[in-house]
Amino acid sequence: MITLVLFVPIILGIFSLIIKKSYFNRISLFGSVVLYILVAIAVWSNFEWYILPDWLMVYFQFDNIGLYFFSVMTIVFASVSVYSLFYFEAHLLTAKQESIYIAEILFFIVAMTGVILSTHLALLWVFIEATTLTSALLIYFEKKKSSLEATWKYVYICSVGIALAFVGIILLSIGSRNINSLFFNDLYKNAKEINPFWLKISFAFIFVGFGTKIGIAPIHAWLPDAHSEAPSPVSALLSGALLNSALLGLLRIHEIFIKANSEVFSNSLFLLTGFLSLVVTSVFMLRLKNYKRMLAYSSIENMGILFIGISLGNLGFFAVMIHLFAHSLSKSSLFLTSGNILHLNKSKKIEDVKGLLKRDPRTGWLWIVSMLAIIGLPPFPIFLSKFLIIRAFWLSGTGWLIIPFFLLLIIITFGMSSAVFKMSFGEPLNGESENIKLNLAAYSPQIVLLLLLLVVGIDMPQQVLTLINNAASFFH
Amino acid sequence: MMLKYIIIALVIISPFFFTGLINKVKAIWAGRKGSPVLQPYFDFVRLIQKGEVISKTTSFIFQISPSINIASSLFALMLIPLPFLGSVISFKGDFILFSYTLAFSKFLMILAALDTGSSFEGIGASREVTYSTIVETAFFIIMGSLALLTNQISFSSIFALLNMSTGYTILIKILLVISLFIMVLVEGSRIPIDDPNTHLELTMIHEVMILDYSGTDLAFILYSTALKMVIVSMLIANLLVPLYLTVPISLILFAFILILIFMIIGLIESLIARLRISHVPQFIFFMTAFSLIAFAIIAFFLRAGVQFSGKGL
Amino acid sequence: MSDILIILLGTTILYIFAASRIEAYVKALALQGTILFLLIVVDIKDISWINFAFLILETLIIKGIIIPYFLLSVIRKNEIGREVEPYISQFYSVLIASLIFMFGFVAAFWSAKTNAGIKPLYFGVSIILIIASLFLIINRKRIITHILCYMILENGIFLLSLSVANEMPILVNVGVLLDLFVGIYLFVIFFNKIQEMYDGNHIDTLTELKD
Repeated sequence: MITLVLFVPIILGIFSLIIKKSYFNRISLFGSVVLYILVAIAVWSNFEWYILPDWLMVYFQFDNIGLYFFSVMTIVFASVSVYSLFYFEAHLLTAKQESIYIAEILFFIVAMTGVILSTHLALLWVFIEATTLTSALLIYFEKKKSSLEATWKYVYICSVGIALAFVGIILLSIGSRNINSLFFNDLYKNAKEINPFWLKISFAFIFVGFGTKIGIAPIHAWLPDAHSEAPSPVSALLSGALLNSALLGLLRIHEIFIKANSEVFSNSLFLLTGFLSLVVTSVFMLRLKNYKRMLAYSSIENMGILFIGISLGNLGFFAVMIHLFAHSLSKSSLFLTSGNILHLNKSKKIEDVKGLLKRDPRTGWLWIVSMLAIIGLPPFPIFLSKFLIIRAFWLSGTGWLIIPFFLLLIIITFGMSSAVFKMSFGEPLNGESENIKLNLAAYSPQIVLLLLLLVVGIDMPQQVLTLINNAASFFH
Repeated sequence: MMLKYIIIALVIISPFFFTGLINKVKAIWAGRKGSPVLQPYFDFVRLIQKGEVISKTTSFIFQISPSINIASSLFALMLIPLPFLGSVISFKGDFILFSYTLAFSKFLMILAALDTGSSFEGIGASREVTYSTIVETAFFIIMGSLALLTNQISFSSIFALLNMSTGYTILIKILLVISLFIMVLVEGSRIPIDDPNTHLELTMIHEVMILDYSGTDLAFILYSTALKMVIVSMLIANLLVPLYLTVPISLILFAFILILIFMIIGLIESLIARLRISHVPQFIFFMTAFSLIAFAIIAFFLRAGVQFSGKGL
Repeated sequence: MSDILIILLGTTILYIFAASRIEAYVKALALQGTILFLLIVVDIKDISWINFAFLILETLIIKGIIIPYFLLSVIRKNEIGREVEPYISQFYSVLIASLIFMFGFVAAFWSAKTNAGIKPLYFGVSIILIIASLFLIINRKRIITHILCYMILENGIFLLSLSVANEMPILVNVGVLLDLFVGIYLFVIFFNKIQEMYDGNHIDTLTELKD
């Protein structure tokens, strides 16, 4: 099973690069999507037929939290794949360009799967670095001057950050000398024997390294650039899957602290940077001129909320899991819709877009509803997760933090919704009032994503609840 | 005992032989026959016989500076030990006196240069001061770390205790030899810090400060500059000569190392161009950096009794 | 012997701090790769031959030869200027380098005291390399020097991993090496693109994206 997940997309991608035929590109893309969905369902329902060669099982494993992250990534991957069909058509890509795009997407997905499934700390590092390298060419896919700048910043900042994370891993291996293993299970089992000093100093390095990848303030510099300059489906993948998988890496280290009963240190780091991210976002949100950058800053904000949730310990984990799922889906939906807007208006500036609802009502409504999903209007699950985080604040005895939390969220919500409404309502510029209807692939992924969110938000199915509970129980 | 004084007397005579050696190496490297090794002596004698011209704007400082210069260089030489034989004058903390003697002569040189009122000499003086500040700190770090290593505070006893046996001291010696070698280059105003053959006042450092001297005074200054190079080279030789040899062999080795150092200087002058003025301080600063490394190794590893490489792998 | 090699490795950093030519950086990098190779030959015993062969490949072939050659050819081909153009002048850089050195030795001393089973001098010098490379990244304007400083950072991390007694599994080693290699390759590709698209190759030219 794991072999399939890790190797089939790579092989398909390589064949796409060789064959360079449009039909084969689609086969390899959707073949991988179907494979991922099947694997997710198979692991979910505990089928026992995925016993595999021994050596890979040592290094890769589906545990509860890994399965959860894998499922979220699969949903985002599937919707991005469908949307890519519209992207190909809108940008008139040749079969060769398509094959490059698809191969890179597949490599990127494999790298993220590797991050999610690795059971060895250093191997996880290898795959996080691999996500940077595989996604770099995707961000540069449109070959513009600005996208080159964004790619350079992305590759360089993330590489240096990840290098620092490796320093942290080596320091951790100094501290865990008597364990002499960097497998997570060994670390968890012997967490109390790790020298606390080395554990803390190594966590500081790993936090900076993986935090760069997550895009947490103050090391978020690459994130708005890369997200705004990448093709829209790639932005959705970056925001909806990449940030999560890096976060999982950090969570796995955090678990060592929990097992060693010294989580006060890591919790305070999480809380501090989480709030810092909210502050940074609220400062920038009001003066942004580019709607894709706005979405990118919103990703920083949501990663901040996740960090705050993590810092609240047991009370927050359930909320974190819901928030992560909801953020990935609604942010993907927003980024995909922003692709439609970019196609209709040929501009990323907020002021250049007006009257979306008249120009293309479907895009307009998707834009508004996705925005409502991300700011957390009641039927959507983000409402639930934010509510749970506020409750966790109250229960953990740090109730006064609710006030800044609320204030910052209000500023961000105001900034984002005012921009979205400015774009959606009013008369289109240049009198382009004719009603445009795009390809079905330009709407269907977002609709499915939003429906999924609504289902989870209104009446969470028992299976999903079990999955989330299992994932949250990772931290016990 | 007599041997010591004979050798010191030889050293006092020798400086021009060493500058001649540098010139000879440069000439051979360039494919020329070159002037004889003893040419600087002939120049010295010629200068001594000439009359002097002294600018009217200068004060007595200008006139006493060369004499004090040569006197303090000779005094500094008295403090330098020879292997096994020790120095002429030796007491606790003599390396501090040594450093200040050199600094004093430099100070008078700079005062004399400023005394002439020439703007070029002012530039030279300013550069000289900049470099000396760096060199002196580094020298104290070197001597401090050696004192820390041997628990002694005079030249003779420090060098008497250094031996080459352990791996640590080899490392420290390599570092200190490199930084002392830079000090030789600075004291002697040689390439790559300063070019003694340059003819453009703007790029001169040491040479520009002595522009106004002539006759005997100039001869004194040339002599004391050459002697200073020899003195610092003697420190290097002291570091390098192992102490398990017999007295004659170690003295021969001592002389051989001195010759080698000056031949290396000659080679450097043939191979390397002088540095841009703005890049000189960072080159001299290497001296500080190397001596700091040596100091750190001694302070943190040797004194604390910590092993360099732990077991493992 | 290994002590001398380690100190030599440290002094390459001093050289890089003082050097004003980009090519000097590349030469120092090649030297660092070679020193790391010698260190492995001198110092490492009791290691499986496959791991040993792999380490030699990584240090001598890739860090010592291929990457410096690659970078040198990029520099020559692009005819970029030779000066490194620091924000802070080299003299103060060397001053700061000595401070970093002192810090590294304090760290080495302290690590020896904690008795954590690491080789103190390796640890100290690797800390020096890491901090120094981060300082250089901040302090140099040129994009090409950023790539070079990233390589110094990687060398520091390699030395740090040598200072630890535990071995990583070979799978991880291969992965790390692959990432490093692809990373440098990508850096160079994008560097060439930047060279084509922008007039200069200073980071000051990359200012299109901001809020």
